[in-house]
Amino acid sequence: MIPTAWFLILSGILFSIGLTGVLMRRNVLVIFMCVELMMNAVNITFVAFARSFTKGINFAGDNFVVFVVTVAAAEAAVGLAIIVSLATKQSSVDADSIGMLKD
Amino acid sequence: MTAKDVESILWLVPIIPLVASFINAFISLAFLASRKKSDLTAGQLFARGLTGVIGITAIISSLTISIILLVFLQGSNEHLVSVKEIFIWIPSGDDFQIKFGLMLDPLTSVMTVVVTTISLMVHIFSTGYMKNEDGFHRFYTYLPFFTFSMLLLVMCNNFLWLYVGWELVGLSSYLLIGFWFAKKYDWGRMLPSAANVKAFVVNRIGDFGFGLGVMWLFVIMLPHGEGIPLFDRLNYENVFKVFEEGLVDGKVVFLVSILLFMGAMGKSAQMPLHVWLPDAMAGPTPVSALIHAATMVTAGVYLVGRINPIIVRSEEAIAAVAVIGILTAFFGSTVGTTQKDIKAVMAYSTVSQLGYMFFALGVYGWIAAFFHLMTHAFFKGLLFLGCGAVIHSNEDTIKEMFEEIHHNAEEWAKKKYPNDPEKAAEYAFELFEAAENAIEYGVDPKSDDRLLREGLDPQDMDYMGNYFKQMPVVAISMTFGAAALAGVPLTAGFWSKDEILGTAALQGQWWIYLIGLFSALLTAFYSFRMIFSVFWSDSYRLPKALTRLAHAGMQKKAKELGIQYFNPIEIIEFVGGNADKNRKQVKVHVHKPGWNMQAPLVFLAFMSIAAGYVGLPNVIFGNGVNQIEKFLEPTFEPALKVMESNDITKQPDFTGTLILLLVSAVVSLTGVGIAYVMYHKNRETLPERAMRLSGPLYYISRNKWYFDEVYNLIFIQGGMAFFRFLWRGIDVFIIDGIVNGVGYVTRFISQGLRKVQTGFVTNYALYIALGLVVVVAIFYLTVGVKF
Amino acid sequence: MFGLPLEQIIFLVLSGLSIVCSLGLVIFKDPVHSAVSLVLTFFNVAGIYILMGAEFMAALQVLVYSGAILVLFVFVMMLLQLRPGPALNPFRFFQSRIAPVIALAFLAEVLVIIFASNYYNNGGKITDSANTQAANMAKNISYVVSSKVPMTDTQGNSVVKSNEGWFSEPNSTGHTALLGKELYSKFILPFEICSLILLVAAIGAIVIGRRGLERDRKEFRSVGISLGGVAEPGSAQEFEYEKELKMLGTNELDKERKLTLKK
Repeated sequence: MIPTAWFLILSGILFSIGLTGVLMRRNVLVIFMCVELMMNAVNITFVAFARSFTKGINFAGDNFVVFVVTVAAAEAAVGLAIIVSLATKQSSVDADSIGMLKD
Repeated sequence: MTAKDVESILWLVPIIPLVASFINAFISLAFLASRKKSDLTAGQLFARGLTGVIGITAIISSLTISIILLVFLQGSNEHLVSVKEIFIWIPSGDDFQIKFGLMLDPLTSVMTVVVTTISLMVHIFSTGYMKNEDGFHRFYTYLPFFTFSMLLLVMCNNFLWLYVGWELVGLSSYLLIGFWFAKKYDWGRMLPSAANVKAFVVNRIGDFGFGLGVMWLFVIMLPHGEGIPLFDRLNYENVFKVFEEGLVDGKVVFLVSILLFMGAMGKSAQMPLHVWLPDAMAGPTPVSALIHAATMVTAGVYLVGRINPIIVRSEEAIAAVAVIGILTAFFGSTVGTTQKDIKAVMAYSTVSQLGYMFFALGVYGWIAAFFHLMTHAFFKGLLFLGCGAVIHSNEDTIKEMFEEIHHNAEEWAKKKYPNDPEKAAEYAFELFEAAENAIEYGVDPKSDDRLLREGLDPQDMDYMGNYFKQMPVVAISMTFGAAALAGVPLTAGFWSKDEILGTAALQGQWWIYLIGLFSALLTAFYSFRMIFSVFWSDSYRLPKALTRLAHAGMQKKAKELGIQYFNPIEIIEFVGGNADKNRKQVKVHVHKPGWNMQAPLVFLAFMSIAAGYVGLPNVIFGNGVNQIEKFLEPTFEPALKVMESNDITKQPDFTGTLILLLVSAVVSLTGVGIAYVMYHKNRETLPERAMRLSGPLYYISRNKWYFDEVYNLIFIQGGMAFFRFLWRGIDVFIIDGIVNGVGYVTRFISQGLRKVQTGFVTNYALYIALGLVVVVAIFYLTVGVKF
Repeated sequence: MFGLPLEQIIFLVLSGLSIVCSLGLVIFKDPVHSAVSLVLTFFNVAGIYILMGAEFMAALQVLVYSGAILVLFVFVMMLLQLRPGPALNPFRFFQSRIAPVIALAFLAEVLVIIFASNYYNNGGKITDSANTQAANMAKNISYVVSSKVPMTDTQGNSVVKSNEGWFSEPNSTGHTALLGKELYSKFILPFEICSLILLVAAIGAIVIGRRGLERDRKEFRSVGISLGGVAEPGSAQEFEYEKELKMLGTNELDKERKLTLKK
């Protein structure tokens, strides 16, 4: 009988921590990992809501989590490919040195 | 001769001078253009002379017709001849039509005769005065045009055409004052190119009031003129009928009178709009004689006389006229006593005498005012023409002396440097030029001696004297003229001035009478100051002054050039009497004017005496002796009627009039006597002592009561400060500031916003996160999340 | 034990650990340490999924996330020698200070929303009796359903369909089965599209991650320059780029290319 709210709070905290990591870290890979953490928190929320209906079970939330994980995997692959090519060019993966969008 | 005949020739009087002006204009443009006199061929010289002849002929014709009309009018019972429609100026439908019509009533008749007479004298005189002018033909184009304008002004029968004539006269004055527009230096006086603008602008200020007055008359006439076309309602007779029937409110009458009088103030140089008249002396002297003594400035007097049915119904307006008149009279006479320039004395005298005419109108002395106008035209015209003769001869003398200086300087240089002709010529030229410059511009601006400081002005009375010997005709004519101005007994001026003062005393205005009497004293003083110092003094000052000035200039130049042991006497010395060839003395010939300059003077001198006899007082010499009163009465009948009904008419009595005559005589002779003592006997000493004794009064008078300076301060400096504020404060600061400010603010904001785009992805992530927080907050607060 | 039902204690422990591990992810300097702590986080989250009765999720979590994705990450960290680069960003100081603030603000917003919601206000009662659960279920109060998935809904109808037709459904009532049922019937289209996504991602990753032959680099050089790619100043690359930039549009460029091809 865990109150739904606890799951939501947990999810919120994890999301915030992930957000902090995205904004604060300089290493591109760590930033990416924090993004994964954020997506995880979202997954928890989805499943928590899916379990919170009284008129029977609705598995839409669980299914959606499947898709989220799929997309996360795809995104990780492509993102890491980009990071690799970027790192090859610059010899570092410092987020602060990616200034190519500057005028 | 019937009224019908008169009507048919009436229109000729103004038109003939206009036609002459156009013919002269054609001749000037076709044959003469802007060539110098020395470049003209014989044929062109003939054309040039022809313009003068055409002008004179035209004026003679006008004068003849005017005299015919005058005689007719005097002999007939009708007092008004009018031609209502000669042509239609703006034929634009039935109602909006401006018709041009002329009329002839006693006042008009007198004015036309005076105008054409003086104009004729000036035309004849100018053939001599302007003989060597490059712009001779231009002069004879403008002069008849002015005559036409003035005749239009006095002969028209409609207020609208009066305004047209008013403006045309102003235009002619502008053209004629600025005749020597190319002059660059005039011994510290205002240049003609500025003086004519000043005249026009100050006139314009008066014309503003005049225009408003005419417009107001139009508005007044609108409800009263059924059946009469719009602009015919501005005919004199229609307007006067409305006023005579008492259909106009008293306050309106006052205001309309004041507005119309403003025009008179501007045109006739009354205080405070008098400032243009002395500067108008920058024009040629015949112009001053015609316009600024006899004709244009009397247009204001004519106006007030013409609107007598209106103005007589407002006591305050008439009082205002009187006050301004007497103030002006007093002002002019005080300033005239200390002026050094001969034309300035005459200018302020004109201002003063115009003031007399106005204050005569102000004490209900209608006929006295116009009588004085007539006599003043004669003697002031004479005085101005005589001044012209004197100035002309001075200028010619000085020019001749220049040539002598040049000649002698060359001889001296050849003797001093026989081996070096080039250096000799150069030195001679330099010395001559130095002398010339000294005479024109003065030698040393810091010198104590006024002559060395300012140069020799041909119009300066300090350097004139003893001209009786050289030009006796001029001298005697001028004396007669001055006597008339001073009011010496038995001259025309005496009778007319006394009539004015008598009217003032009759009406009980004792303050006005006393101030007028004092001004008469000053008038007598300064007019004979001029006569004595210029014509009848012992010292012939011009040669010595010229010599001194030329020597000072040459000495200074010699020091610059390094010529050692230079004695200017070796070059030139001018003397008035016998010359000594061995001492390089040159006798100065004062140029006597030719017959074409002397004849008008003689005629006008005669009229200065004779013209007074048409206005002898009835009281003393018997009823009906006063011709001019009898003649002019019909014009002023409306006013006289009103005066009777208001009980203002007073009858003069024999003893009173006699006493006043004697007082006037005594006062004028006193003035003459003081001038005699100061300027004939003790010219070297007394004037200076008087100047020192009078202290600040002298300077106030000399500087024309500082009117120009005050006007400059208030209107020009004040105006410039205001306009500068408008420019800097409003245009530059506010308007440009707003426009520039918009750009500046945009640039500022955009430069600030530009910094958002850093190019660093992590910053963009931060912005995304920030946006997320903000959007969630807004969403929750506005829409709300309910689950 | 502490006055709370066991489930809740377990939940608290697991969530506490996951939070601590995720903090470790953010705090550790060495990226490998961060990766390891992330793995631990994922394991804890998997435990939480099991608490919720979503076993498939837990397995998915461990297999895909920590087993594939994070391994990928660790591989990449291993392959690239990571050095801190030139810190060009002048806003780093500012950003480091404001990031926690923003995150905390977000967290505060989320908490506000949660505490204002029905889930918190009406569902805060803690009890473990089945009667209460049934009673609360009857009152439409939401609870997280316990481990066993009920086979009947409130009306007592069975939510599991019986066998009908030739396609026999499994009789299992586990989470995996139920999820699979929905996934392959209701969500079949997204499922197929997900596979497409994975395909595209694979191809894309290969294309992007390629070190590239010289030929590719030169052909796509103009694209690279327009994308902002610049060679380090003074390098041989830059010289070559400049040289070919001049030859762009002329026949010589093709000759050059043929030469390099031969190489």
